[in-house]
Amino acid sequence: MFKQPFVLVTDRGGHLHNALKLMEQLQEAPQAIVTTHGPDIDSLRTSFSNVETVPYLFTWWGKFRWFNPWGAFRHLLKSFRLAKKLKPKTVVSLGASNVVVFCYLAKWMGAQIIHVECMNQVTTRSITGRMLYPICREVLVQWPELLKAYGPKARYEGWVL
Amino acid sequence: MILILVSTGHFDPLIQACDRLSSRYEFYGQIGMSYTVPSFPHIRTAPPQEIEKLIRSSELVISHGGTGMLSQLYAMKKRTVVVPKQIRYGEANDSQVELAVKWCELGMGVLCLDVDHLEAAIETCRKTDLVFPEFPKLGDYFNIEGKSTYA
Repeated sequence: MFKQPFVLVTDRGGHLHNALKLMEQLQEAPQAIVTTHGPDIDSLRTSFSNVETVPYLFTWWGKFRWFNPWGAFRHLLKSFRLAKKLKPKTVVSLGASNVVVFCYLAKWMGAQIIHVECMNQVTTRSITGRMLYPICREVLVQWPELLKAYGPKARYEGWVL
Repeated sequence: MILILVSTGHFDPLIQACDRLSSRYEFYGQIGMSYTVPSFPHIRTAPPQEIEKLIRSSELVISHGGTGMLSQLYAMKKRTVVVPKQIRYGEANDSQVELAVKWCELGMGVLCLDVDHLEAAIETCRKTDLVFPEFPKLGDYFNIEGKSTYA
């Protein structure tokens, strides 16, 4: 089990699903889950009390997205407040883009960052993985093939599923 | 019954392809936000427990290539045709393709990259013995003392 309390950060949808699967494998629950708002948040809150949400960095219109400066400002503010409130020693990220700001702020406040690369990434790095790699203590990939694409901080230790 | 699962997003080309084949197969669709309203029985979304019941009662599943859905099908060892969402089908990126290809290379599903070849994929899937290998659990890395510095 983790020596220190940790915070799990993840986006909604498949990323959150993966985070919950990882939680099932862990002997210790995180001190909080930081995610974005989605249809499964309400049911998650019934089973896990400390769920925090951050606003989206991007605005979606169907399949298209664009950078939303107002959303990004609110995202930055909320991420900062949460990082300050939670003061995590360890942050486990499962992507995607909406976790990057929180991870950088938590790192700045002294946390160690571990990024679990999305299972979709078999041979190529995700944008989130590339952005977080410089501040990560470790990047845990879910396919051994992906190790070639990453640097020495990457490890393959299995699946979250 | 063949169950179609597209998650909460759109996957109109797949729904349309299934609609064209609906005289030959008994389909039931979970169609998400797709604009196409198929002629076969369908629902938009359902709670996870209901989706699980549908998966259990189906002969095989035609699924998009999302990790959540594939992992559930893997856990249930379900016969699956994997049709990844792709840019050419209106998706924002091809992120599902890598996983779908890998998944089917390992024998955990039958790959269908082109919805026009869906019938052949269904027939192949019916005849193929799928395999579901075990993988190490990432949680053990954090849990077991000595495996990492976190434990």
